[in-house]
Amino acid sequence: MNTVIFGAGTVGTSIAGLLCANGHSISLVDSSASALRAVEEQLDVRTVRGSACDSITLFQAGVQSADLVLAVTSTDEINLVGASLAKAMGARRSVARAFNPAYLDASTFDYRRHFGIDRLLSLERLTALELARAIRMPSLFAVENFARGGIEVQEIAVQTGSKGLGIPLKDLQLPQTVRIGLISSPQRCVIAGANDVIEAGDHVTLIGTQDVIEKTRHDFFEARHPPRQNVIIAGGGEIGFNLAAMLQKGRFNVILMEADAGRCQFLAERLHGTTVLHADATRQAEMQEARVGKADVFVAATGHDEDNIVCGVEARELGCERILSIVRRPDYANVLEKVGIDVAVSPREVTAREVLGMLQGGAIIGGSRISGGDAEVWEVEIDSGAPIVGTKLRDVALPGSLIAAIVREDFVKVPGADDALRPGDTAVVLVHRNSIADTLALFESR
Amino acid sequence: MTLHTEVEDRSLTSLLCSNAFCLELQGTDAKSVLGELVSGFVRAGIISESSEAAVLEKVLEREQLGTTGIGQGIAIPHGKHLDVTSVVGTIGISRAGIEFNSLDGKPVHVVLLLIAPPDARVAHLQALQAASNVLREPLTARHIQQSSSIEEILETITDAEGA
Repeated sequence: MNTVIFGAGTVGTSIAGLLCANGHSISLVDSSASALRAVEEQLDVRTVRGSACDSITLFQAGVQSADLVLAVTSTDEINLVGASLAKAMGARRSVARAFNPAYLDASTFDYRRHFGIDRLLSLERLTALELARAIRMPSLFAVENFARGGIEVQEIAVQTGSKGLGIPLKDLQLPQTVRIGLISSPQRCVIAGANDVIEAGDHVTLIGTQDVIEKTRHDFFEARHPPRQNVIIAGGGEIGFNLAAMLQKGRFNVILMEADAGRCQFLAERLHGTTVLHADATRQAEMQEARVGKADVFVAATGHDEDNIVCGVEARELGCERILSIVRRPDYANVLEKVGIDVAVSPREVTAREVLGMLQGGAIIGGSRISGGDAEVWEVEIDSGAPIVGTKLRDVALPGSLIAAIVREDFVKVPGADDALRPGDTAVVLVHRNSIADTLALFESR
Repeated sequence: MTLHTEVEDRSLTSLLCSNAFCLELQGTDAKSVLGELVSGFVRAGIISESSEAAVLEKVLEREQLGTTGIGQGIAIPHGKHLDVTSVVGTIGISRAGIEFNSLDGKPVHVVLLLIAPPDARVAHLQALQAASNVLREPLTARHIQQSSSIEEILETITDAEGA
């Protein structure tokens, strides 16, 4: 596959390295000759010097025949313009990194659509999503996010004494926006049908939006509510802000520590379920005052690796049980384990994984295995040539698979039998491993 | 965003003018080679003799903004001119190699020249895309370079586009 990357900074370089290692052919565009030279010394990539907004440069880099263009310079505006040009010049897929939340929000104006870009990538949101996943994971077997985090897939073990036991699914009155995907036990593994009945000890896959899934799990499949957990986040930057917003919806008491008073004001106005503390996490006294020692989870999410390590160690000293930290420099990964940080999340690695997902050929743009490999969940882009387009789901012969969610114009919908897929939709599809080929045929363009 | 409707057949084969091909380019620098290729269009009756100089100038102007020698022995020079009514293309081959100021510094052996009408924005982009798609395959480029007849070149490109 041919990939063109704009920006030879840390993000662009690390993605280039990863793709090179996977045998892709890469062209790297940057306006700095020295940045390009530094990359050339390490990697087997083609480099083109020039602006990512300059069509001549883009032509030389080969965007017109690229399978994927990634605009990951440090400037949002350059990324938007460059990715837009690349798409117009013929790139198959074009992705821009955006930092400014205004560009990611489509409620007033859809920047992505306006610029003709396939996807806007926020490293900060992806990183927050990954941290949230790690925080929630201990009580779940698996959590996967699809459709830019809009859809979640959770695998849970159904507890004895839960309300949802012994009743056929059609009579269970689950919320409209959640679907039960797979029911598995040592004896069976089936895509859930209306007449199936869940037994205690079964593993069940829930698909839907995060808040509804959480509620469904509590109401139907848990006999006792798990205790609320206290999470303290150090650093109210974009990552800390997004993480708090994701966690406050769940069973977490979230405290966000931020040293800048103005930013605290901003955060407090937008995070209604979070306690925002004006405090500096690098000061021991302020950490003690925030009662970090009593927290269940501490997340070091400031803008500096060094500060994150220091306050992570401090939190551990104060008695916090679980420490998560963001690390940007790969060199530090080794140290973190030694100083007692449990989970280190690197924005670059998270992004790199995301990009690898985009490079899968054909209609599938993301996927993962669940239930020990018995089934897969796919994120599928619906092309106008796909056989399934326009057919009501009740008329689609799909034994062994389930269209669990549709994302249309940034809205998530759990489809009913009378819904049909349209070109441009993204669908989240659950597939039993025996039906992979048949299901794929419905989505591949003729 | 998709580009369609302006032209129906978007293949490279459909816009190549095989009677303008130059199987043995004489020049060793970009300017003289582009002159030969533009002359080929005139010889084939695609561009009028009176426009020859102006078309060449347009192509050279574009070349000055940044080379179209995209590496691996390939160049895709292009320009726009009123004298053509649809996108047209020709191919030139040089055994000796042409100094094209290529991105990878290597001499160019296969030159694909495209001329588009000024208002055919979409068709122009599609032609560039089709040309890049075909020539980015090193094997296809080498087959073209080693071709000794027009038919051989066309067959290689048709095969590459069919694949």
